[in-house]
Amino acid sequence: MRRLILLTILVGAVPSAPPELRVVVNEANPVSSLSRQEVSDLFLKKTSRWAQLGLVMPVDQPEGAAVRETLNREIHHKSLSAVRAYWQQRIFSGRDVPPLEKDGDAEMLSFVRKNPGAIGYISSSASAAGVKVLEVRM
Amino acid sequence: MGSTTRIQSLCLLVLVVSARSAAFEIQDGRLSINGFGSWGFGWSNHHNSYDLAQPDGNFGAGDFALALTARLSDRAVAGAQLRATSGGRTSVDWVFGEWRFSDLASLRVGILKHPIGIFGEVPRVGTLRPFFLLPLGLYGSTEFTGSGVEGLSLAGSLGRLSRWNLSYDLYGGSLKLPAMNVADKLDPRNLQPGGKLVTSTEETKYIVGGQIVAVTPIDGLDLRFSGYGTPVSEMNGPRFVIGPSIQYLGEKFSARWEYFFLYEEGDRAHDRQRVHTAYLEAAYFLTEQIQVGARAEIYRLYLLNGSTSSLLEHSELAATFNYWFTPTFVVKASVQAIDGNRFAAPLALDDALLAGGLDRHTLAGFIGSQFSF
Repeated sequence: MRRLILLTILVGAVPSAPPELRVVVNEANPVSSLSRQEVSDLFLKKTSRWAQLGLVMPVDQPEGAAVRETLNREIHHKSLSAVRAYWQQRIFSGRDVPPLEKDGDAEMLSFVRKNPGAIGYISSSASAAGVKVLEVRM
Repeated sequence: MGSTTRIQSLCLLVLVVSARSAAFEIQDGRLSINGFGSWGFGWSNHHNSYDLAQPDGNFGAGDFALALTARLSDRAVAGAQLRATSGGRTSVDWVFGEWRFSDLASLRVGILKHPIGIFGEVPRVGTLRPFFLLPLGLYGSTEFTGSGVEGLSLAGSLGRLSRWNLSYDLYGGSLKLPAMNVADKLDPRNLQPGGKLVTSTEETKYIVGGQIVAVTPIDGLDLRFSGYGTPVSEMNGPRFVIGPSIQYLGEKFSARWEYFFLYEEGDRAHDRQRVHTAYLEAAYFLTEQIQVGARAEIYRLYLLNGSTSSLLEHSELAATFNYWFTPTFVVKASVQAIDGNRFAAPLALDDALLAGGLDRHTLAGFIGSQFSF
């Protein structure tokens, strides 16, 4: 009985896994695989052009969305405050503005389907019909 | 305080309370509207005024700015930032057109913020820092940082070297620098009843400068090296400014260190000067909302005519306690213990000097809010 209680406590103490993230692009995009760093550079607008499709149009999910926290941690390797400071510095020095925000997977997918240069991300539970899921080399 | 100032302060307060945490995007991001603002109360002792802090208290320290960025095409961008203070003054922080050749190079022409140190381009965005005020030795009314560069700049990313990410900024044109008539006050013959320290704007033409930023493989740590100079200047002789900066931004802990040096030649003896300034600050989030921070700062101005005075010195220890309602709206309370009168001196400076001297020790406090969206 003690073992059962201990097991229950241990299982309960394990933090729930973060939502997995899938990076998606328009089906017309010939790119199918990118490194983690390349994906980070696209969302931070350090890389602004696709080789064949012109302007990159990154799209973010709103702050507070679990999948965006996964992007910060797993792709940018930065804290939320560091990413926010990066963008405030860019905005108010006139360097750039953050990606557009789309509220949830459905809006994100709709935008990516319509724009050939778009790149976004969705949670693993969402259907990726009509877009291409990139392989991200970690 | 005049009624106009009160009304403006109230408007700022309303804006603070109602500020959205996100920017406004129009036409799928072709036009972005962002903004920031602040309001604060400052108090100081020993008859010394210290920036916004005054011996009888100052409620009128507020400002608000709007940044507009328009994407004209895939490669062309136009932007402007307009700022209004609670004193009724409005100004253009920056306004420019930009052509992005590639990630390696983009050309901007217009009025640009001065890319020097960590905060040269964003000196008034309070949500980017722990203290209500930036260190005055580097970012106050000194000879280091200008309000803006009128001219052009070439900036871009140099890509990755190993796991380091390098970017650069080169600029040239005219720089408007704040200048205070401190040196005039060192000679008793220049003192007259009612005389004050006056901050004027001095234009330094034909400057060239640059900044290189290295994002290190250590998450949150970046290094900068900034400098500018001019071989000629209408008012003074050749001058240059150089300095390194280190910044670490973690989830809870942040720290910054900067050191800058100014070398200036001039026709008049007191125009030949060397200035050293440095600060170290650290801040820590005790909880998601509560942040504490501390800062030590030093500034020394050396005139080559050998003058010495507390008006040429500034040393400061400061502490802050902040409550972040959201990551874009914070209320800050800070206290500064100051030694030296370079930035803490009576408004009626001549009268104080004629009466026998200055008290070089000042205690100043600020409480205020800062926000951005």
